[in-house]
Amino acid sequence: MKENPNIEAYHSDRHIEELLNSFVDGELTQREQVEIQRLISHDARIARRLRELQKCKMLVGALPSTEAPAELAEEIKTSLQRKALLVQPAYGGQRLRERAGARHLLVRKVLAAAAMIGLVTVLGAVIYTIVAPESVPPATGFACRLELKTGDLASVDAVIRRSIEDNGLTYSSPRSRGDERKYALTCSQEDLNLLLADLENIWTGLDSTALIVGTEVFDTVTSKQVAEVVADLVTPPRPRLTSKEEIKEPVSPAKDKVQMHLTIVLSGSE
Amino acid sequence: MPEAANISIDDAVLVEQCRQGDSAAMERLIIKYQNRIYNVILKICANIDDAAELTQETFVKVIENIAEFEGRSSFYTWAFRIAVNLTLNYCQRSGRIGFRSLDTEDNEHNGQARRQLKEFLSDDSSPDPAAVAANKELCEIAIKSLMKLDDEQRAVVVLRDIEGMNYAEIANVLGVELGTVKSRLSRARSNLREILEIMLQ
Repeated sequence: MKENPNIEAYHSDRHIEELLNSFVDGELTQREQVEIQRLISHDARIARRLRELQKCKMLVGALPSTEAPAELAEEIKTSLQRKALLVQPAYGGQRLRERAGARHLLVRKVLAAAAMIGLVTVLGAVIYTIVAPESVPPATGFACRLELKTGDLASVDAVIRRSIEDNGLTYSSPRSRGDERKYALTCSQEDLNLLLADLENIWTGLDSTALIVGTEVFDTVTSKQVAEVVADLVTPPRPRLTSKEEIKEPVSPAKDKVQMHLTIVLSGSE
Repeated sequence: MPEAANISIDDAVLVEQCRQGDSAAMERLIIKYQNRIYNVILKICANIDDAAELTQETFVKVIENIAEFEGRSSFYTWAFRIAVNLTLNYCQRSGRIGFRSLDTEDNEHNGQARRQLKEFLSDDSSPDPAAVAANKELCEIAIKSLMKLDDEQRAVVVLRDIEGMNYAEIANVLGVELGTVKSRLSRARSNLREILEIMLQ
C-alpha cells in the first residue's frame, strides 16, 4: 500500500478517517455507506483502519458503567433545600434589616434636624441680643418731663386737660397735689406735636418752663422748642460719608411709631 | 425513591411539573438521569469524589435554571450540556486532567492484562468487549489511556462511546459545529489508539 506524503493526500486521509469514524458510528447516509464499503473492499489499509477504530470504540464502550452514589439524590435535594432556605430568609432578612436601617436613619435625621433647629434658635437669640439693640432701637423708651409753672393754675390746667382730650389722648394723674397737676401720657411723636401746638397759647401765662430728658434739662423752652428737642432726640444721627460707597439709611423705627412717654407737671398757685 | 426511577414519564411533562414547583417531578428527573450524568462526569474527570460533587452541582443548576429551559433542545441534551460544561471548566481550573506524558509507571499492569488487551487490539482477533469489561486491570489500562487524551477529545469520546449520543446531540451538548464533532472524534480515537499501543509496548 502506498504512503501519501503530500498535503493533499494528508487531507484526503483525514477525510477518509472521519468518514470511517462516521461509518463506525452509523452517521453516514446510505450513499456514503456504500462508498465506504466499496473503499474497504478495495483497500486493505482502509479495511484495517476501520477494524482498529471499531475496536477502539468497543473498548471505550465496554468500560463498566459506574452508578452514582446512593445518597446523591438526597444530597441534591438537601442542597436545593439549603439553597432555598439560604436565599429566601436571607432576602427577607435583608429587607427587614434594610427597613430597620431606614427607620433608624430617619430617627437619626429627625433628631439631628431638631438639634440643629434648637442650636440655630439659641444662636439666633444670642445674635439678636448682641446685634438687634444696636441696629434696631427700641420702639419705646423715650421719656421726657415737661415742667410748667403758672400763677393761674386752674385755667392752665383746664386748657391742658381739654387739649389732651381733644387730641384723643389718654392720661393718668399720678400723685397730684393741691398746687400741682400731673399728666402722664403715652402717645406718638405726631400726637405729641399736635398737643404741643394746641398748648402753644398757654405759654404766655406760664412763669417758667423746663424740659427734662434723662439728665439733660432744657430751661425756658417754648412749645416749638419742646417739639424740636424731642424730634432731635428721637431721630438718630445720620452716618457720615467716609467713602463713595452708598450708605444705607440706618435701620430705625418710624418716628410716628416711637412711643413718647411725656409727663406734664403743672405747678403754681390758683 | 428507587422505584420512581422506573416510572417512564415524558421529560417535557416532568420539566413542566418541576417548573410549577412539583418536588416529586424534580425527584424523578434526578433519579432518571443521575447515573448517566454521574458516569459521564466520572469518565471525564476521573475522580469519584469530584464526579459526585459535580453531579450534585449539575442537578442543582438544572433545577435552579429549569424556568429558563426553552425546550429548543431536549431536556436530556440541556442537562448534559450543563454537566459537561461544569466538568470541563472544573478540569481546566484544577489542571488535574490533561494530556500527561506517558511514563513508565503506567506500564506496571500485569502481563496477562496487557497481552489480553494487545490481542484484543490486534488486527486478527475477533472483538470481544465483554472479556475486556470483565478484566478490571484491562479496564484500568483503557481508562488511563482515555485520561491521557485532552479534555475536549475525551469528552467527545465519552459522549459518543459511553453515553451513546449521536453527532448532533454531541454538537448540541458541546456547543460546537457538527464538523467539529467529526474531526474531534476522529483525532481522539486516533490518539487513543496510539496511546494504547504505547502503553502496551
